[in-house]
Amino acid sequence: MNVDNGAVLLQTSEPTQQPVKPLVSVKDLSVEFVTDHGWQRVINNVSLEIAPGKILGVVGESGSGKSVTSLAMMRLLPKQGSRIAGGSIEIDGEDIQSLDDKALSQMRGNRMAMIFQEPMTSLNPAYTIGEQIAETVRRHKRVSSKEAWKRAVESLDDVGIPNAAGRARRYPHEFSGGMRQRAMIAMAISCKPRVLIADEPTTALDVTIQAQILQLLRSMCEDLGLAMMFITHNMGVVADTCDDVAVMYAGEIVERAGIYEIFAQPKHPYTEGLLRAVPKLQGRSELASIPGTTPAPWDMPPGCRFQPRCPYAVPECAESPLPLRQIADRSSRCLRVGELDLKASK
Amino acid sequence: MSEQPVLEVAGLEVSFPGKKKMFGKAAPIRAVKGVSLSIQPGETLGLVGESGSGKSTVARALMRLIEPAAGRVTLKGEDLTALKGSALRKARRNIQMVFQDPYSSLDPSALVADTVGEALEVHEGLKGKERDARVAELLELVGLAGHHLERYPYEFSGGQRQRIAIARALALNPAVVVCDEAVSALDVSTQNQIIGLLEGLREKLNVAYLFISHDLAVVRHISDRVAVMYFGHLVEVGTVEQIFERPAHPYTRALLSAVPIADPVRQRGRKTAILSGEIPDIVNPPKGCPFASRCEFATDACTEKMPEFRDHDGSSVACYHPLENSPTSEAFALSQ
Repeated sequence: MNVDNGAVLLQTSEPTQQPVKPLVSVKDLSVEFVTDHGWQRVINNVSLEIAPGKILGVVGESGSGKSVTSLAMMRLLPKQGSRIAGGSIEIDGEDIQSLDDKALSQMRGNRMAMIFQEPMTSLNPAYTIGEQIAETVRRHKRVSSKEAWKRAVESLDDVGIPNAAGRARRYPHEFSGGMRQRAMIAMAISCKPRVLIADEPTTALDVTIQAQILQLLRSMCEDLGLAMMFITHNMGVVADTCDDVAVMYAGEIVERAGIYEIFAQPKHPYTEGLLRAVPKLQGRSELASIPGTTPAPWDMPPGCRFQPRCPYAVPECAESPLPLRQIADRSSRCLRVGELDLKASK
Repeated sequence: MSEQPVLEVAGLEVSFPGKKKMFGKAAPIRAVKGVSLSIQPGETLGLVGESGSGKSTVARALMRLIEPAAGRVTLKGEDLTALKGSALRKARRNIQMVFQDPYSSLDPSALVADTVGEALEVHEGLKGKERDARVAELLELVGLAGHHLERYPYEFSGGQRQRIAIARALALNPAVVVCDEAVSALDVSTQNQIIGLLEGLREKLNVAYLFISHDLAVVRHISDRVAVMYFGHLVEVGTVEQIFERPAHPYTRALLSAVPIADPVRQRGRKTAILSGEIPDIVNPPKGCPFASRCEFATDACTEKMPEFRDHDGSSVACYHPLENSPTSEAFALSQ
C-alpha cells in the first residue's frame, strides 16, 4: 500500500475514536532549487500531518531539509531560484499554494505563525516590543490601536514577561535573549494562530532559559490547541517537548513515529545513528558518529539515500529508491526494517 | 597533582569601560571577578556557564588578547601578565586557540597551506617546501590528507574546517589549547568526530585543553575537571564526576537539571528545577552572591557578601549552603 506517502495521523487509529481533522496536512511535497547543476530537488515527497494540540518534532542534521520544508509551508521560499515541484500543503483547511499574495499575508501571522532561532534578527531594533506586536495585531484584526496595544500587553503577559505593560514600551536591545524569544512567541500568538512553526526556537538560548521556553511552548500548545511543528537538531529537546517525530535525511522523511516509540526502538538506521551520537549527561561512554557526510542534491546515491553510510546496507539497498513504508502506526524508509533490531543506545 | 601546573590563573579580573553618565565618571563593568584556575599538563579543564557568564572573557584575558585589570597568569612557569612585545609573542606560542565558527575563523582568501603555515613562518622561519612538508604533517595529524594544502576554506565542510583550525592551533606545538565552543557549531555526528580527534591529540601530544562550552554533555565527555562560572564569578570547581554526580553549588545543580535528556521516559519522569528569573544586571551587580536572586536556599548572608571558595565533599565551591549529596538526596535525584 501507501507508496511514498508516510502521512500518519497523530491519533491512534482506533475505529471507535472520531479522528480529529489535522490542522496541518502536507502531502508529497517536493521543492527544487536552482544550483550550478541546474534545478535540483532538495525536498522529495515529504508528507506530514499535525493535529490540534500536538507537537511534531522534525529532526535531522544540517542540510537535511528541515527548514526548507517549513519555509515552503509558510510560502516563504524565494520566488526566484526555488519552486514547489509537487505536492500539496493544507493549513487550517486552506490550500496554501492556491492563495494570492493578499490572502497569503492574511494567513501568515494570523492563522499560522513562525518563530525563528535568532530573536534579535527577527525583531526591528527601531520600534518598541509593544509597537511591533500591536502592529501585527492591527494588520490582521480590525481593532483600534488602543485595543491592539492592549492585546500586545496581554500576549506579553501570557508568555510570562513580568510587568508586561512596562516592558512593552522597551526596545529589543533592552531585552535579554530569553525575554526576546518570549517576545517573539508573544508576537506569534498575538493573533491567536492555529498553527505555529518553530525553527530551532531554543538553539541560541542557555539551557536554563531553554527549559523555561520549552515549558511555555508546551503549555501554549495545550491551552490554545495549536498544531506545532518543532524543528530542532537536539534530541534532548525532542524527548522533552514533542508528541511525534519525523526524521529527515537528504530531503526525505526516513522515519516517522510517536515520541516514546522512536526512542524505545528506532526503525531506521539513520535514526539509530542520530540517537547513538547524542552525548549522554551520565557516565562517559564512547561517542558514536555516523561515518561520511550527507550527499549533495546533485550527487544522490542510487537506491536508499542513506545506504552508502549505513552499517546495515546490503546490495539490494542500492537498487531502487525506497518508499516510506507503514508498519503499524509508524513508518520507515528502510528495506531491512523487518529484520533489523535497532537500538537507541549500544 | 604534584606536577607543576602548565597554566595557572590567579585572581583574574577583567573590566570593561561602562557607559558614561551625563555627569560624573563612567563606572567600569566588572566582567570577570577574581577567577583562579590551574591546568596540569595533558589535562582538560572544562569551563561552563551561560552566555554572559564570562567564559570567553577569561580565555581572552589569559591569552592577553584583552588586558586583565588584575591577576596573574603563569604559563609554563612564565608570568604572561608581566611580558610585553616580542617576549609576549614568543610566550604565546605555548597557548593557542580554536574558535567556534570555522566559517569565520579561517581566512577565506588564504590557502590551507598559508593558514596553517603562517605561524611556522613567523616563529620558526620555515619557508617553501620545508614549511609545506610540516603543514602536510599537521594536516595528517588532524585526519586530513596532505593534498589539501592547495585548497581554500570554502572547499571544505564545517567539520573539515574545524580540523584545519585545530591544525593551525597545533602548528607550534603549544602546551595549552583554548577551545572556545570549538564543537558547538557542528552537527552531533561531526561534533563527536572532532571530540574524538581532540582526545586523540591530547594522548599523542600531551597538550592541555581549556575547553569552554555551554554544552554540558560534551564537557562531561571530554573534561578531567570542570569549572562553573556564573556572572563573572567562578562558583564551583571539581572533578568531572563530582560536578556531574554530586554538584555542590545550587547553580551547578540547576544547570544540570535544565539539560534535557534524550529519553522521553526519563526526561518526562524527571524532577526538574526550572530556574525562574534571569542573570542580574551587570551594570548594577548585587553585593552578595549573584545567584542569590534565583536560589531557593538563599539567606540574608547570601545577599550580604559573596561567599569565599571552600572545600566541600571533594570539590571547591563558593556557597554558604552547599548541597549535601547522597544517593538518596533530592540534589542527586535532580542531577540524574
